Amino acid sequence: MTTTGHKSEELVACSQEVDRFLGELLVDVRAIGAAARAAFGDSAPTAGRLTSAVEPGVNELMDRRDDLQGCGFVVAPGIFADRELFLAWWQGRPRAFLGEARSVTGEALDYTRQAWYRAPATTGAEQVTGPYVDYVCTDEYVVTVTAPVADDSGRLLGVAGADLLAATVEDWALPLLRTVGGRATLIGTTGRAVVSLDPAVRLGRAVAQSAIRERVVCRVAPMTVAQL
Amino acid sequence: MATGAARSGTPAQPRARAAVFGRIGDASRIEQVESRLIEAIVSGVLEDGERLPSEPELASLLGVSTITARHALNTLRERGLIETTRGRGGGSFVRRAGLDAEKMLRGQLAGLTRVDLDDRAASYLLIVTGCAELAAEFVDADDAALLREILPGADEGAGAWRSAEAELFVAIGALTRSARVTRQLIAVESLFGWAFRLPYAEADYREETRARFEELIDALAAGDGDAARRLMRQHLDLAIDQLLRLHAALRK
Repeated sequence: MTTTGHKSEELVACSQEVDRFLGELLVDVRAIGAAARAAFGDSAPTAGRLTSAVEPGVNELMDRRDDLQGCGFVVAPGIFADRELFLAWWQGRPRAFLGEARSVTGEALDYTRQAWYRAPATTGAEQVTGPYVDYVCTDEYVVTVTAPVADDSGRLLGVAGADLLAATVEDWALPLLRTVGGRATLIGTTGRAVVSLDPAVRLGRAVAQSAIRERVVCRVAPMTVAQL
Repeated sequence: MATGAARSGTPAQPRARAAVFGRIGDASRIEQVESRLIEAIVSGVLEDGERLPSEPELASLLGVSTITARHALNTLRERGLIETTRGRGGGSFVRRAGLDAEKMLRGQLAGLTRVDLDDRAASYLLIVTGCAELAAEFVDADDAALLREILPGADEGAGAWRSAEAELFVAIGALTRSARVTRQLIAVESLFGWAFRLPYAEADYREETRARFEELIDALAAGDGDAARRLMRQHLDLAIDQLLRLHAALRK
């Protein structure tokens, strides 16, 4: 809570719903991370062993939740002896397996630059990124939830995560914002509008601090539910 | 479907319809299939060792006859770009091993008409400059830092520059926050971005480009869409200029 004084009950309730949603998704993402971690035992890890360790949990999750665009585990560089990068990641309705991401010129695409990887890898904190257009995996406009995974010595093994289409987030959040009414707006972790009741708000652009009359910052991730 | 023109049987847009329903010659079809596959191999969309669809599968995917598909695959085999094995587990496999990238790219360029080149240049120019202009409205400091990281180091060669430019442009496309625009950009990049990256063979071009890309990223970070568009246009004008010279020299 960043402002003092009375909050509208609706705004607080709305932020609690966002927290509940993200909290539940993070439980699922952490479970993928735990399965991946178990694959890195005593012997040298391989991409095949990681993939088979992660796949059952991914299948269970994708069966249970039809709102996910994809999920899986992305390896930190230096973990595998024979390759730098690897994505044990499944996406879309057919649950297409990704493995390697390639650029349009055919080279492996370095995902470690992307915010959804870099933020949890460098801060050790769980992260909600986006919405952004993901050109590494889906070529879709998505929100990504990621959690870092380390071994007992604290060495980073990689990042577990799940993607939601931004359109899915809009479908989910609009009814919530309507319970608040007015110009209720969901603002992402970097201060950009994600979903808004106000047609004058341009999605993806920063919301001016001066435009915010009342706000509640969510607990699970620094997303904000605001009244403009 | 319920327009008056459609009901009366008089096409509303005769030119557009002729472009859609005009006859496609067999020779032109074989060339189209060949050049699609060659460009996909050269650009890396089809990976080394990847098994191509069988002749009938390829024919059905591309909507051409099996004979057309067979002719196209024969050409690829003669050029050493695929290897075909028989029997169980057999098929046609992409072979990038013997591929001299520079030579192949130049060979592909030499096979294009000037008209085709201008056509590709116009479509490439529009989408890439448009992305630069639009992206400027959304770029924050983190985005700009990511774009700067994509630029190659000082002594990197043509290969590193080509892949860096492709990634830089796709990243700028993604910053428009439109998945549709990004996919269109990726399609254009995959199909003929290779041509506009040929000039990276020259060290002078790489140096000039570095300076311009740094300026471009500054403009994007400053939210200056007009400057971003102008700088991207300047870069592509230079690339196209060099490309046309190379094309003319190759076709002599």
